[in-house]
This record gives sequence, C-alpha cells and structure tokens, in this order.
Amino acid sequence: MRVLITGMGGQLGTLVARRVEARADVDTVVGVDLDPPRRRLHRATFHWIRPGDTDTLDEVVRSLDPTVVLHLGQFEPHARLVPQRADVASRRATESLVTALADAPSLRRIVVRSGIEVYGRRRGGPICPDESCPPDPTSQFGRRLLATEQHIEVFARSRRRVAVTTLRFAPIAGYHAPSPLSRLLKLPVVPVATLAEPTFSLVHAADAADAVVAALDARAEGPVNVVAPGVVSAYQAARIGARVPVPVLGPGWTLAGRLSEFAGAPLPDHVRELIVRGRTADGGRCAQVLGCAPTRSTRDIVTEIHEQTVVEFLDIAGGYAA
Amino acid sequence: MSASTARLVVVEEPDETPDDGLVDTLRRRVTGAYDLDPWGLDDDVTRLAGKVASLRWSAAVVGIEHVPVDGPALLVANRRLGWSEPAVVASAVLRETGRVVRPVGGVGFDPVAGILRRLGVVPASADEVSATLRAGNVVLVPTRREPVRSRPGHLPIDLVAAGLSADAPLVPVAVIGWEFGRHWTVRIGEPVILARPARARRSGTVDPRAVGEAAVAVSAALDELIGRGPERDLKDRVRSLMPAPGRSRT
Repeated sequence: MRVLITGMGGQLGTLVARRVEARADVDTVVGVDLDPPRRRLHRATFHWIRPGDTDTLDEVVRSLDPTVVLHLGQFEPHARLVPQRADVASRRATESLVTALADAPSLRRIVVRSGIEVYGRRRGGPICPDESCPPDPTSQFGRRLLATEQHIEVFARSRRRVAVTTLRFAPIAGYHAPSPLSRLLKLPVVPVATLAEPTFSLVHAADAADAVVAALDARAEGPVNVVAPGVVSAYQAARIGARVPVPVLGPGWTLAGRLSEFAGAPLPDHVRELIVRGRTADGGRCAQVLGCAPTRSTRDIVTEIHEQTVVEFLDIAGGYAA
Repeated sequence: MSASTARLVVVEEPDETPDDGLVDTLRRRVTGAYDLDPWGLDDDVTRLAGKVASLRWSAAVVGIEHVPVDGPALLVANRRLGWSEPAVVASAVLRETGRVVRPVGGVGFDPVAGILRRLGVVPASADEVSATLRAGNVVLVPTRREPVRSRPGHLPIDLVAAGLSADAPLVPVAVIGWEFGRHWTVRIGEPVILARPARARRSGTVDPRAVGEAAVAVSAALDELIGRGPERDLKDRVRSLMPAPGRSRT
C-alpha cells in the first residue's frame, strides 16, 4: 500500500502519519503540507508544498503512484490560518490534489477529512443529524468542507474503481491541537448563550487519527460521523476549567468577538454558531462501518483542554547539562 | 372513577431513583458537572420538575410493566386539550420506573424552547424522534387533540414510522382525567406486535404497510384502553401483583 497524506503538518496529519507508518502493510508514506510535521516521523517522506502548487504535487503523485490518499489538508479558520487564507488554502489544496490524481492509475481509495459543520445549524434543522440528513452548512467552514466533499465525489465518479470515505468529524480538540474553540475556552472569561444552553460534541485528535487509519481498511463508502460520546454546553465547558461564563445576547456577540480576538482567541463564525446554537451529530455509524469509535468523551476532552502542563526546568547548575 | 377504586390504585411507590441533596445539586450547577444530552435534557431539572408535577397531578398508573426497563420505547398517548397529558405521563413514568420520558412537541423559540428542552421535550420531527429513540430514550408521542373523551385522536403517522425505523416497541397509553383536575388515570397497554416485519428485507427501510398496520393496532389499543372501566384496572392491578406462572415471588 502506498499512502499519500495531504495536510501532514497539522496535528491530525502528523498523528495519522505516525499510525500509518507503523503498519506493516504500508510500503511507502508520503506527505505534503505548508508546515512540517509536528512530530518526528521515521519512514514517512515529507514534501513542503504550498496549497495550489499543482506542478510540484503532480511530480510527487506521479513518482509515488499512490493506492490510498488521505486528504486531510483542510484548514479550520483561525486554527492555523486566518479565515480567508484558510478558505483559499483548503480550496486550492483540494483542486491541486484532484488535478494531480489524474496521474495516479493505481489509486483505489480516498479518505476525506470533513466535519459535522456541513449539517449547519439552521433554525428548525436537525439537532443530532445522522449521515442520512442532507448537508445544509450555515458557516464558512461548513460550506468549504461540503465543497471539498463534492469536489472529491465528482472526481471519484469519473474513476470507476476509486472508493471515497468521508469522515465528518466533530470539532477536533485536545491539549496540543490548534483549535479556535480551545483557545476561547482557555480565556479567563468565556462568552456563553443567554437564553438557552445548547450543547456541542468534540472529538479528540488521537481518536480522529484512529478513525482515519481505520478508514483505510473499511469497505464502506460515503459519509461517516466521528463524534465523541457525550455533550457539554459552553457554560459547562467554561466551568470545568473554572472560567467565568458571561451570558451574551444578540449584538453583544460582535463585541464579544472583538474582545476575545484582542485577548488572543478569535471567534470565527462556526465557533460562534457552536456556542449559540450547539453542534452535535449521531456517531452511531462510525463503530459499525469503521470498527472503531472515539473513546474519550467530550467532557474528558474539555478537561484536557483546561489542564495545564507543568514545565520542569533543568537544573543546569546542578550538573544536568554536563 | 369511584372513590374506592381510586384509593386502591393510587399507591405511591417508593422513589428508587438516586436523590442527593440540594447542596450536591447546587455544586453540580456551579462546577458544570451536571448531565445534558444532545437535545438539551437536564437531568437535575427534570427530576426537580417531576417532584413539582407530583404536587400538581396525582396519577394512578396501570400497566407500568409494559414500559421497558431500559432501551428505547415509543409511547403513543391520547390527548384532549393536550396541556396536562404529557406532564402527567412523564411524571408518572418517572415516579414508577425512574426513566425520563421525552414528550414530543413544538418547542418554539428561546427562552421557552430552552426550558422545554431542559425538561426533555423533543422537536416534533421524524428525524429527531428517530435519533432520540436510537439513543435509547423513552419518547412520548401524543395524538392530535380530540375533545371527545371516548376517541383517541389521529395518530401522527410520520412519528410512528420513526419509531419503527428505530426498532422501538410501540406502547399505547391512555390518559384519562380533567384538564384542571388533580386526579388522573394512566393506562399503559401491551406493546403492539406486528404481523409483518417493520422493515423491508432488501432495502432495510420501513415498510409503509407495517406503518399502517402499526397505526391501526395502536388506535385500536387506545380505544380499548380509554373505553374500559375501572373494574378492569383493578383486575390488572391485582394480576400484576400475583406471581407469574411457574415462578415464585421473592
């Protein structure tokens, strides 16, 4: 099996790469991204390629001739890039990948990173949608993810023997995962909805990586929701970390967004939507189709976000340096 | 209902649900350690509301053994005006079994919607009902409003189909009482058993004929439950207290 991983420099991409290169049935692992991997990789080869650089990616694909592509190169707004750049980078990454895959005759499977943001949170829409609910995104990130899903789907239809598994993740979080929601929850004061207490689900980055690797072997096609068990509200998420929840109403969200951005935690529209309207999905199909399900609950993930790592300084004067 | 019958059937069972003190509840609220589910059900608030409801309504329950101890169930109940019935059934089942019933209804806008969701109300859509049942909940679907007491009212067919799609047993429930009165009777019938499989063998989708059969069977069961007299309740009550054949009471 020859595996091409886009977005290898992100937290999810790096975790997936480490798992993939540990498998005996994988001959070659090649990754591309605009940032280098976050951990040391032993067998994988990394190519620094800017999204949209079709020529370089074309060369990589032609020399590798991948049998499996893990398309994780989707950029959440305000995670690594500002929203506009994240949207452009996600679009270009998908477009250049699809163009380059025309030269991959051995390709058999594509696993796409998507998110439950594609279901949207329109008033009257489903609260806990499953995979059969039609996508109806109501945020920029959701629309981008849906466009990526459709782009890959159109490509796969033109190639008979290529199967596509689309993993719709709940917001990926964890102690090390760069996430606008995690940054917001770490502020000393957290804005929450006033009139209701909508709930949301998360998924841990390690569980998300396990799901991607499980999708290598899964025979099922189509979308699969990957959602951690349990839900929390923004109020609960703030209080778990002993933060002060501040109820915000209507136009107050504009001010809350400005203040949180000033404090170092910008509030993109999909995170605001998550806090005001909630965001969860039915992840029951994940265990059936992939044979694995997230083990860490949403509450555990929020607790992990708030945990502070103790930094132990080396006592150089005491002889450690020697 | 005669006074003697009412005295016999209104037996307050001991509340077996774990009930910690007010201090623990307040501590959970402050630390955020209370439980919510995806539809917003707040366990603390629901159990508190159950206690308040027991001050307002006194329900005599017959056939509580037909509500599953765990796993999903779709209760289909009649209603006249429809204000008290969901609360009467939910509080009675909570008191008798400790299980929280999720009534289906229009939740409207916040803040009313937020309060109703905390109490367990699920939006009246087939997708939500199906998802709630798949999560293992007991969902209460009321029939359309029917002012004539002897009629059960029209069944919401789409919600019955949602119940079948989630493989939940359909349990007819007759709710009898006066809207502004305190004393009510809740008669829970046996789960409806269909002659044909609910799902089509090849596609796995719900068979429309099975939905029709289920609707007819539930309506008939509701008719029978609403129409029967209190003497039958007494017999059922006595029968439920007797040991099952071939099994000794412990």
